[in-house]
Amino acid sequence: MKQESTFNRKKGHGFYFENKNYKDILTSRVFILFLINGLIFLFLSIFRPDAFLDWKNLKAVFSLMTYDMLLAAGMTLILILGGIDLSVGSVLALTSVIIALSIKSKLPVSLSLLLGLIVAISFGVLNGLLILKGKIAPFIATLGTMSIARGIAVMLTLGQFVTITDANKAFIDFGRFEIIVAKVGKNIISIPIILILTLVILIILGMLLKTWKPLNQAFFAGANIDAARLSGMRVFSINMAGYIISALFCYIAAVFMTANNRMGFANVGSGYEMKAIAAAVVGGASMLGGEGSLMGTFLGVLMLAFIANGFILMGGSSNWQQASIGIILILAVTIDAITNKGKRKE
Amino acid sequence: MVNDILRVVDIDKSFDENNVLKKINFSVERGEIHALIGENGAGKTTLMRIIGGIIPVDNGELYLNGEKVVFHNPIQAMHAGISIVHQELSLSPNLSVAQNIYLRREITNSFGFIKHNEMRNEAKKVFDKIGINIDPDRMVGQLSVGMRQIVEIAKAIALGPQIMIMDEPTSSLSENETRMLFELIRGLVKSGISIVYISHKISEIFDISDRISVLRDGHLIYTKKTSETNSNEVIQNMVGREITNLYPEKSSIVGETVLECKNLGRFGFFNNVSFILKKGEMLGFYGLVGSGRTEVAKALIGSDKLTSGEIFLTGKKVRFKTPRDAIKNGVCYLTEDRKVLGLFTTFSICKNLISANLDKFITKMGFLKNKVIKEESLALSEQMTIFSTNNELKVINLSGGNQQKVLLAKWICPNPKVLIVDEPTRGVDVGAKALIHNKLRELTNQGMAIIMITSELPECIGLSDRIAVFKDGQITAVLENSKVELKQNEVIRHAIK
Repeated sequence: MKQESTFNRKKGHGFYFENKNYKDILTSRVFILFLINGLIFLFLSIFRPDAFLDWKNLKAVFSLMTYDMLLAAGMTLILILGGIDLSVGSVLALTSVIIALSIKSKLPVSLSLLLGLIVAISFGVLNGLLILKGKIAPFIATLGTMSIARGIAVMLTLGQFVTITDANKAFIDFGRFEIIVAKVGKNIISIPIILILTLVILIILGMLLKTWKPLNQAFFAGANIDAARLSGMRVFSINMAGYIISALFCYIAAVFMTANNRMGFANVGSGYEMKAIAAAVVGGASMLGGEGSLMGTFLGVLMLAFIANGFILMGGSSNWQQASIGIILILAVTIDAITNKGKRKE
Repeated sequence: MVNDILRVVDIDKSFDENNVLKKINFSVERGEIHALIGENGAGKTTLMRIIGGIIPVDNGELYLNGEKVVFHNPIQAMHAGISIVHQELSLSPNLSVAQNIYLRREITNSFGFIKHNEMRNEAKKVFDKIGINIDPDRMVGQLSVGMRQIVEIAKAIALGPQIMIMDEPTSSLSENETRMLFELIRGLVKSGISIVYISHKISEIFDISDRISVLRDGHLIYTKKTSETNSNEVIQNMVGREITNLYPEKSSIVGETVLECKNLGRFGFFNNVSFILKKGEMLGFYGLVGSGRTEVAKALIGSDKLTSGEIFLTGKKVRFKTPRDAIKNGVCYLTEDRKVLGLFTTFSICKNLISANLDKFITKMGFLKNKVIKEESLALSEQMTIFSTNNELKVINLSGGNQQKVLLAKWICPNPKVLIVDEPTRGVDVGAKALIHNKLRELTNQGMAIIMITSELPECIGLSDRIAVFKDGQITAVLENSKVELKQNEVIRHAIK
């Protein structure tokens, strides 16, 4: 036994630094998602080359993804921690409403943004406290705060749009500012600044999650909270940070959205929590905690966006979008369960 | 051959390229207790799962009462009279005992409504039959682990089996409960049931079995009447080499006091617990299950609250608020429940090994040093001879023995002054057990102070320099064990009345 093990160790050692062989890569989540996204892209390019490949269309697809990506990124962290945050869409709406109302009542933009930040973070802290100190199941706690946030937003605005077209120019221009990258024929290829910022934020968070200890511990805390605590990790702080970061991402999305739409509206973002969860789970986050990656989540969001766009371009009813998200979510989880069953023999 | 109730002929089984069983021939006689023994990964569980119809065979045949049978699922095997008592308890804590016994085959009337009364009475009959008094209405969650194991057996008996397969039924039982279980097994055999008994505990097997079969690396090495063999022969065949000295030598270099505890108490769990621990010493905590040993350890490291008492670490008064505090101060606790409290089972070996000591592997900015992590974890797993092709393997795919080695290595990594190990060899095969024992002794020889909580008396006596005996949340005696080894009854005496 002893000899055998050292023999095997040596064999394994050679592969150590590239321990993933081609089979692992081909069956990895990120690779499959790349493939699926590629196929959808190819499909739409072939059948609707004029409409789909038009930069205006692609830009619209990517721009709409901005908010989804931010919420899904926060959701990924929460799912890794073994929790769930249903309040993201509502917190987004409330924060947006608060910012818009403050600006409308002639508060300086900076102060309005600060106010929005305080509100968003408060909801993150509230979620964290209810779940960690109150021991309420994350699903129930955030279902409650979801209602509360939405309710306050509706109450503050009486369900009306809060337009801020006359606000500080820098702020509302920022929301629609685009960087021109290239000119291809008639097409001007330009990218919205909020999309670029979102991608930068995502990349930073993704890298930190993998390599930075304070965030990386989320995986341990999510996989087995008791073992993590006994291993000397601050599981309370780690979880709390997760809910606050999720709220922070709602805030960033709200700032972008308010600036881009030039208004606040209490009913935006409903159903966003569903999209965020779907994208994260499709991207490989486990509802049991301890698993997930931002790259996967990004590809999940992209896939949902392509499919939604495809529905419209192929002349399908846009009403099917919602149903398609549900179908994809269930498919992803089912495929996952089947493949995992095969892996766990003993 | 007529007397064989079950005969297994030339069975082969492979998972992927891994040949787990090779041409196994095995038989069970009517009314015998046939012990099956082998190291983790030898193929015991796989063989039993084949007999129980849980997984299909690649080659070979199964004969039941002389007739050839093929099982496609566990239900068929169950109907044929084969029932398995599982190693991992599979009861639902929120259902009553009766409901658990008749889970998924509830007694119903013609409208499909459950007849609770009848189920209760039937359950009662089963308990009467085995002569144990458990209220069928009790919630399983309220029962002790031992009682749950008995409910598990009752569940199997209620099926009216010819053969019962018991997979390590005593791994979480105290000695009293084990004795009770053995009486129950003997009673079952008298009523004509045959039993296949899988265990790691050699002494137990000689206590209970009629015949012994040894599996090693997928081969059935030999089958002998229990009366015609002895434990040395069995162990030798099991590991394929001779294990001469079962336990390493006692410590020679006991130094100054590292840890001193005075009158530790936690209301409702333990009180007045005082002991000292010296450098390079192995202090055994012996006692029955539930005597408060684990509770003391958990309160000591700040996982649970202490209500009274003082702790001195190298002369300084300390009180750990969290396990984090304890680890920072060099006091580590290896849990008895490796799957639930110890390991991150869905993570790689490498991540598990460093999980208690992440701070050692980060830059000033808090970024993980992946290269150092890989090197260090490789060194650790090499040290522990963790059997795997690489450190990226998920811990869940390792055998129990290897999982335990990972857990021990995880706590060696922070290099603590005081290491508390709780049942360090539970559910572990002989080879891994010897390795863990030697490793623990090696650590004390390097100056670490170790507290070993164990319910296995031979292990406790064989390894400890001193033994603190627990009873009902108190230390009843601290016995010197380094020069002359204590007799078992000298220790037990203090643990029971």
